[in-house]
Amino acid sequence: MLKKDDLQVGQLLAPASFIVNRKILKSYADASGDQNPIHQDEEFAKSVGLPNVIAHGMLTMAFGGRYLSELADGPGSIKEFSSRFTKPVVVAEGEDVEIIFTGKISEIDGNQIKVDIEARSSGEKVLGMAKALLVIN
Amino acid sequence: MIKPEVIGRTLRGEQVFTITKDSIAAFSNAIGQLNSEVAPPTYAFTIIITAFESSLKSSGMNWDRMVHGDQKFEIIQPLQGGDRLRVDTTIENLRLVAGNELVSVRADIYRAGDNEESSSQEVLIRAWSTLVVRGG
Repeated sequence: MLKKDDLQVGQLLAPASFIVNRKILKSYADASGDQNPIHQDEEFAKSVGLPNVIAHGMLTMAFGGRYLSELADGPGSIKEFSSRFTKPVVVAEGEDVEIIFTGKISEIDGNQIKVDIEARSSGEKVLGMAKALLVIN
Repeated sequence: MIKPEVIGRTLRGEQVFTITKDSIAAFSNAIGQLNSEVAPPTYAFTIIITAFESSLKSSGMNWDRMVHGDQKFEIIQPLQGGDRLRVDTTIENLRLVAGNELVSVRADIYRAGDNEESSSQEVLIRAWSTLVVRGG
């Protein structure tokens, strides 16, 4: 966990990796209410021109929220969080797809820090310009 | 197409959303996050999208061709179980790019009161989304 006294601008944050699979897509669809079939139904996803079922952009962002929560002292430490949805995370049946998060401190102001984070899956950046403002004690 | 006359206008959300501890736990479980008293930062989008669907459809947006372009949250006070909330929608901007409609829209989440007068004026979460309506 990040501590106020040993932070530096440019400091790299410990990476973390999370797994997405079809079961998690179903759980997230139920928990978020987003039942769009492109996130669950392979036939439907392909019929609209997608390579396969894709993860919800907001699910990838939610994993980013988990990454930040675990770096800081829980979800209450996150004051701002933004991201672009650049590439979808493709989730084939029976596969566990890894999303790897990394981050860097870009600014420190008292007990608030700004961080830039990156999310990659199969070597591709899946979130763009992802940034957060965290309170660190 | 979004009707141009709604750009810049705030559409008051009348629907009251009651947040339960169980719904926060289900959201945390789905992403493997330790459940806590306060909701994960992106949890707010689950109610925002419902508010957007109703206000943007009534403003003329083709909801079925919508994809999410970007998202920003400013969390003044994180959501918790037991919160009763309402969401105002402001359509900040509309641009046409390569046949797609780019809708910049803001959500302001307030505590819901028993009526319009008693509803709190204090924003708990402010969120900005770019929604892209694919042309075709």
